[in-house]
Amino acid sequence: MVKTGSIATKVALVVSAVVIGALALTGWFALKRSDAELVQLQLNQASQQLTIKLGIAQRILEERFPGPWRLGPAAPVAFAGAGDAPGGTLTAQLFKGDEPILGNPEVSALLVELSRLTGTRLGIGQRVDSDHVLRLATGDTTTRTAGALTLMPPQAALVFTDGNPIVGGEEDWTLYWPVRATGTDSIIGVLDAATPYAPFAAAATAASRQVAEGLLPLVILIALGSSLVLFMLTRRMLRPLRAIHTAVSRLGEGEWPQEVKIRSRDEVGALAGAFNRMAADLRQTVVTIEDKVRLRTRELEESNAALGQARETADVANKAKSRFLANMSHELRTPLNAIIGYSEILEEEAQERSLDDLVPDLRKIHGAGRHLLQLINDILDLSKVEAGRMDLYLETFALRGMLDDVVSTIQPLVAQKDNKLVVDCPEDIGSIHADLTKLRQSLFNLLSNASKFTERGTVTLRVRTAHDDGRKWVRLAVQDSGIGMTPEQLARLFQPFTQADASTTRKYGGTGLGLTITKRFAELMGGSITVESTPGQGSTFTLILPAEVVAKPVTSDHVALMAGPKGLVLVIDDDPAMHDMVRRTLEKEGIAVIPALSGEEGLELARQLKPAVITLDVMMPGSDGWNVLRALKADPELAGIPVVMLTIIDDKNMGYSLGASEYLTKPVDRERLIRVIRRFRHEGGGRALVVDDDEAARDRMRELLRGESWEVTEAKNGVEGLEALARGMPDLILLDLMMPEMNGFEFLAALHAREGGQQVPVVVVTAHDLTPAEREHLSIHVVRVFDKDHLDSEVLVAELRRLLDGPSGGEG
Amino acid sequence: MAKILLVEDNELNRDMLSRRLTRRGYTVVVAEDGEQALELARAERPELVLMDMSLPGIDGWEATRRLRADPDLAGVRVIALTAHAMSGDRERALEAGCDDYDTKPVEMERLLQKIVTQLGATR
Repeated sequence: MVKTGSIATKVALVVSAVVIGALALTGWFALKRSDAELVQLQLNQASQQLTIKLGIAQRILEERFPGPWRLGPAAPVAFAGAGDAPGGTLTAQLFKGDEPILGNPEVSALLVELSRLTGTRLGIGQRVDSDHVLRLATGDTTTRTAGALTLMPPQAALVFTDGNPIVGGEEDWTLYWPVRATGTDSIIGVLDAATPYAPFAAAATAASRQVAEGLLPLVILIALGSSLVLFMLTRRMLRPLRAIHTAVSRLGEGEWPQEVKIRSRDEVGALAGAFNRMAADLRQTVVTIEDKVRLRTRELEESNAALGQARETADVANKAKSRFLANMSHELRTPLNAIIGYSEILEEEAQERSLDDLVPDLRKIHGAGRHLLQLINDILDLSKVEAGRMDLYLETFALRGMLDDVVSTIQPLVAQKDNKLVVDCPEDIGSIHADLTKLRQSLFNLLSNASKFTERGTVTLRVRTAHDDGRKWVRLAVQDSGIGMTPEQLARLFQPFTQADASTTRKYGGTGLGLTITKRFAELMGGSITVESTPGQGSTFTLILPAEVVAKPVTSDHVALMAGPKGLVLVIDDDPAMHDMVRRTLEKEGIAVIPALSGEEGLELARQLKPAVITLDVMMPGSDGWNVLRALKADPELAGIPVVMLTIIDDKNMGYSLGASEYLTKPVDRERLIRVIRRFRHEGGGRALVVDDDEAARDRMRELLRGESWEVTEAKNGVEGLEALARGMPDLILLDLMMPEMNGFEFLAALHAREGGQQVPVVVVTAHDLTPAEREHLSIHVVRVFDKDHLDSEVLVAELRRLLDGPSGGEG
Repeated sequence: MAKILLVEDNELNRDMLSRRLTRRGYTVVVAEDGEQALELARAERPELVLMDMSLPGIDGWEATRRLRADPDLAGVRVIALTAHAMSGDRERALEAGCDDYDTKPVEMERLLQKIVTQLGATR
C-alpha cells in the first residue's frame, strides 16, 4: 500500500535539498569573493604598513650599519614557521661587495634587530621558481630604492614546494618584495615578511567564516522554512490526490468506494470527476457481468441437471430396452422351437416315406429356423451384456481341447466354400482360466466370419502365449485370405447390427452381431480384440485374453445403474448441497438417486420415471413442498409412491395429513435416511404367484417378475394356484382368467374366501374379452386388468413396482 | 431299447421330442410337470429322464433334487433341458443332480449323443 503523504515528504525534501544546495553554493561563491577581496584589502593594508616599516628598517640599516652592505641573492630562505614568535631568527643572505655573507652573525643580528624594531619577521630570500609561488599583486606600486637595493612593489605569495605549502597551512600567505640591485632589472632576491600576514590571512578567513557562520543559520532557517511551506503546500495539493488514491485502492480491493467529493476546477478536480465516472461505469459493468454470470451459472446448473436427468432417463430406457430384448428373444424362441423341431421331424418322415422331393424345402425351413434362432441368441447375448447381466463362469481348461472342439464344429462351415483350415498351436500351449462357453463362442464367431468372407482360401488359427505387463496372455489369431476390408469398413466393424455394408448382409448373411458380441465377451474377460485387414488380401482378428481371467468386481457405478430401474429415489430439493449429500449417502447403498431442483421439475420427473421413493423439501422457490405433495397425491399414477419429507420445517401433522409417508427434519440423520428409503423401496422384491395355463405367458411373466427381483411361483390353473396359496400367501398374484379345471373368477372367489386373501393384490392378464358385468366384478376385486394380446411389459412392470412400493398396494 | 421319461410341460415340445425319440427306438413315457414326473419315475422306472427345468408347480430343479433324494431311483440318469442358453444353467443343473445338460430348442443329434453317453454310463 502506498504510504499517504510520502509524495509530499519527498517533494519537500527534494525542494529543500535544492534550496539548501543553492544557498550553500551562493554562500560559497560569496565567501570566495569576499575572501579574495579581503586578502586584497588586507594585503594592501599590510603592504602599507610594511612600506612604513621597511622605510624604518632601511633607515635603521643605513644609519646603524653604514658600509658596503647590500642584500644580495641568497640561498632559499628557510622560515622557522608560522608558530615562531615574531622577531625570530631571520636567515638572510647578505652580501658585502660581491661576497655573500652566509650566516654572518652581524647580518643576522641586523636582521633580528630589524625584525624586532619593525615588529616584523624579516628575511631575505630568493624566489626564482615562479611555479612554486602564487603571486598576488598587492596594489601597492611603490618602488623604493635603498642604496644598492631596490624594493619592488610588494606581492603576496603562497609558497609551495612540490605542490605543498612550505610553511603552515592555508593562512601562510607571504608578502614579499622582490629586491633588485639598484639600477638593474635583475631581481636578486626577495624580501619576505611572513609573519604579519598570518594574522591577516587568519583574520581574512575568520572574517569570511564570520560571514559564513552568520549566514548559515539564516540559510538553514530559510531552507527549513521553505521546506515546511513546501511540505504544507504539497500536502494541501496532494490531499485530493490521496482521496482519489484511497478510492482507487478500495476499488482495487473489490469495494465500491464512495464518490470522491472534489469540486475544485483544476486538474485534480477533473481527475476526480473522471474517476467517479469511471467507477460508476465500472460498477455498472460489474453488476451487469455478475448478473450475466449468475444467469449463465443457473443455466449451466439447469442444463447439468437436465443432462444428469437425461442420462438417468437414458440409462433407465436402455435397461428397459435390454430387458425387453431379453424377453422378446425368449418369446420368439418358443415358436421357433416348434418350427425347427417339426421341420426336422418332417424331414425324417419324408425320408422314411421316400418323399425325397420334399426334403430340400423342409431343409430350407429348418435352415431358416436355425438362422433365426442364431439371430435371437445373439440379440439375447448382446442385450444381456449391455444390461450388465452377463456373468462370467470361470474355469480352468486345456486350450488344446477347447480348440479341437471348436475346429470340429467349424470344419463343415470352412469346407462349404472350399477353404482350408490350418491350426497353428504348440502342443504344450497349456491351459487357461476363463469362461469356456464365451471363449468357444468367440472363437467360433471369428472362424465362421473368416470362412464366410473367404472362398477357396485358407483360414489360419494361430494360438500363442505371451508375457506382458507382468501377466501371461493368450493370443488367438484368426487369419483369412478373403475379401478383406477398407479402413472405413474397419471403423464400423464392432458396431452392433453393422456389417461392412448392406450388400454384405445380403450376400453373406449373418446377424452382424457376432463381432460385437465377441468384442464384448473379450472385454468382459479383461481382454481385447484387434483387427488388421487389407482389401482383397484378407483380415486377421486377434483375440487377446489374460491366461488367468479375473471376474470383474462390480463397480459402484454399475450397482447404481443396476439399481436404477428398480428402486429410483427422486430427490426434490432446491439446494444442490442437499442433493449431493443424499446422493452420496444412498449411492453408497446401491440406490440410484435422481435430482430435481424444483417442485415443478420434481413432478415432471416423477411422472416420467415413476420412482420408488420421493424425498421432498418444503421451502422451495416456485411450487413449495406442500403443493408438490398435494399434486403427487392427486395424481393417481403417482399417489402410490411413498413421499419422505426432508425439510427444516418441523410440521409433521401437515406432512402426514397431506399424505407424506415419513417425515425427516434437517439436518438429516444419514443412517435414518437409509433405513427409511430401504423400507419404502422393499428391497429384494416380493413373492409373486403366476396362475396361467399358457406356458409362454408364464415364462414371460416369470422373466418380467424376476427382472424386478420377485420370487416367482407358477401354477397352471386355479387349483394349482390354490395349492400354492396353501404353501404361503404371496405378495402379488398375476392371474389368467380362462384356464382349465378352475378359471380365474373361481380362483378369485376362493382367494377372497381365505384369510388374508383379500389383501393380496391381483393383476389380471387375460386374452379374454370381458363382458361389462365381468369387468365390473373385476374392478372391485383386482388391481388392474391387462390385455394379454396387447400387453405392454413396461406398463406391467410399472404397475408391479407400484404395487410393491405403494403403501396402499392392497387396496383395489 | 432303453426307457426314457420325458418331462415337458409344453405340448408341442413334448410331442416332437417323444415322436423323434420313439422313432429312434426308445420307449418314451411323458410327464407334464414335476409331480407327475416323480410319480412316473417311481412307477415306470425309466433308465433316463429328460427334464425340462421350467415347469409349473414343482419345477425341474426341485423335481431333480427330489428324484435324487429317493434311494429307489438312484441309478437313473437325468439330462436337464433349459430354455436359456446360459452358461450358468449347466453348473446349476449339475449342482441340482443332473448328469448332463442341453438347451432348448433341442438339436436332435447332439441330444441323442448325450442320451447315448448317459445310457452307456448307466450301471
